[in-house]
Amino acid sequence: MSWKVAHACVRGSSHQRSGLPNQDAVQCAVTAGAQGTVAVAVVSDGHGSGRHFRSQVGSSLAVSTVAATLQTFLRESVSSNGHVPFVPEQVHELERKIVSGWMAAVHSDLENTPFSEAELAKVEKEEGAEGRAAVVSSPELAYGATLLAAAATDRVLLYLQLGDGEILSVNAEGTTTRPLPPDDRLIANQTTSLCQPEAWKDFRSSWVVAGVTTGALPSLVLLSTDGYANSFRSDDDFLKIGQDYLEIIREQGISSLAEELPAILTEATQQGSGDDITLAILQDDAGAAGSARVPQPLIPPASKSALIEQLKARHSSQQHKLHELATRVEQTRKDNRRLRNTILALVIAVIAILFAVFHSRIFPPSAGRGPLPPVQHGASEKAGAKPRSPGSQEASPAAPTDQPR
Amino acid sequence: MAMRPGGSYAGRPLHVIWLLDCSGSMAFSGKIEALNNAIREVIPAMRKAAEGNPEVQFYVRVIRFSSGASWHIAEPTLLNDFRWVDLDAEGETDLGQAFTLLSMELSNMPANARMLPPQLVLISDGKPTDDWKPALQALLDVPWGRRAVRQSIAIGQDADQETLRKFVDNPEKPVLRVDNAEQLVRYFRYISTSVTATPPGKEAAALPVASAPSTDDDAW
Repeated sequence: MSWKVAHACVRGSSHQRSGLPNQDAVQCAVTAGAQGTVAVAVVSDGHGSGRHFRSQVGSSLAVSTVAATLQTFLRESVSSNGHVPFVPEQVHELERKIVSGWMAAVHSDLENTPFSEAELAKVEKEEGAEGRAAVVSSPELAYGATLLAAAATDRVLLYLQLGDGEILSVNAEGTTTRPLPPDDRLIANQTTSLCQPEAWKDFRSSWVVAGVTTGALPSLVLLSTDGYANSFRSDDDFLKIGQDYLEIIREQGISSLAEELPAILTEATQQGSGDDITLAILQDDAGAAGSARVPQPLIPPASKSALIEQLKARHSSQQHKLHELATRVEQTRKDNRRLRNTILALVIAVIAILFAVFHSRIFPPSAGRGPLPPVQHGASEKAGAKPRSPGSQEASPAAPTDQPR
Repeated sequence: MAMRPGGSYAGRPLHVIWLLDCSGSMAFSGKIEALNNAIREVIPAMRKAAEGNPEVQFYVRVIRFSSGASWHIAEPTLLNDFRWVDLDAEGETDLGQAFTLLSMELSNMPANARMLPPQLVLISDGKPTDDWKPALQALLDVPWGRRAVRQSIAIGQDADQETLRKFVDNPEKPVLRVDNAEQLVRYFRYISTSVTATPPGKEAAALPVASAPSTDDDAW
């Protein structure tokens, strides 16, 4: 088993109009170690109302601190606990650690960048004196954000959630479920948050262990901020994404999907909630690959002897085919030799014919084939030329008439 | 073709419910006519403001209360489909019955995160004539009643501002008092458009402090 991840985070269409930043954040990581692969996906949604004016920083701090904490937790707990990856007390301790880690990061940010008067004045304008007083007394309110996380090894998967948003689990058949219980308090734009006192008490968590009785881990885990679910007409419309993403990944792979995710989520915010939308996908490579990508066995393993018989039959068949091929190769060689001889004979014949045709021109016919006629020198001889030999006087008087004079 | 995982997209619903006083006192000094006219002006302003917030579907309904309470417009109606039918005024001020009717409706609304907090606007010119306190408490005990954005307008000096203040239950949202038709239009429009223009999840901006009572001849 190996995990793959993909994610995208887009600014809400209403945020673009109002000038609000993208207050969502996401971080995913897959790392290999001595205990195998550990995959982590963390999503956070910074709250939108006026008093949470640094929530985009809060969400960013959440994903970075929690991703690191989860990886360490998973490696340590899986190696130390044997068959039971963790006990509830360990997870509760993890939740406390997550909140305190986030708080420490927030206070560090506050030390580096204290609130400006402009920030506080804006809160007062939007939420009144009470809003300003609340932020001054509890500065972490300004950074308020939710948290959704999934962390997995090859045999265990841990889910954590604080506040709104959705975690979906999709099995190999595409059946999509929520692995965590609902929190009925989360309506009307109110949510539990990392910035609240004793925030760890509001965590929801669960884990699954792959095994003979428990079955396989899910093929996909989807984590999304509430802007995505709120973009659909109904809950059924939203839950359909589980099956759809599984099919898309089986057809074209998660890397290809990752490239298209920003466009998908942008369309959702424009035609749906108008809110920032983040989606992180954890894919179990073997499970999500599905039947389409699993190699099918060439021979059904009915029984060992049947398998051997089938292999023998296949071997015999292949040998027969090989023999046929060898015969055809030999025949082709013979044909090639015959063709070559024919072409050679044809060439010789052509040469002979050409010789016969042009022979009379190359060797013009003469009577009795006597000696060559004497060369005519008189007319063509120039001054200063070599004296003629006396023998030439005996040449024939019938000089050719077409010689120049 | 672009991929589109999942089913249909839709904007988030936001329900606006008006509770309008139609008691006999509203028949004096042209108050009920002013209210009818104000609504005719408010609806186009709400439509215009909502254009800047296309991801939200605004539905409007109206409860009238006088001797008893009833739905004047019972069906949640999209702003573009909203047609106003004039109210008339006579009878008592049974605000408690209006709260009870509203509580029943809100308790039947689905408790899902998709729906934005409703906006409830109460407009009255007098004192309730029935036992309104337990009915208000029941309304505030309903999740959607408690989480709703509640605002109110007091018409004239005889309005029971203390009752309206308890309905709003938010020191950051004072009861707006209006003393003439022009103020009613202005404040009603302000309240209504603030929720249609403000992005979902954001509370309305701080409300303007109501001006001093008018001294002109048309004052209620």
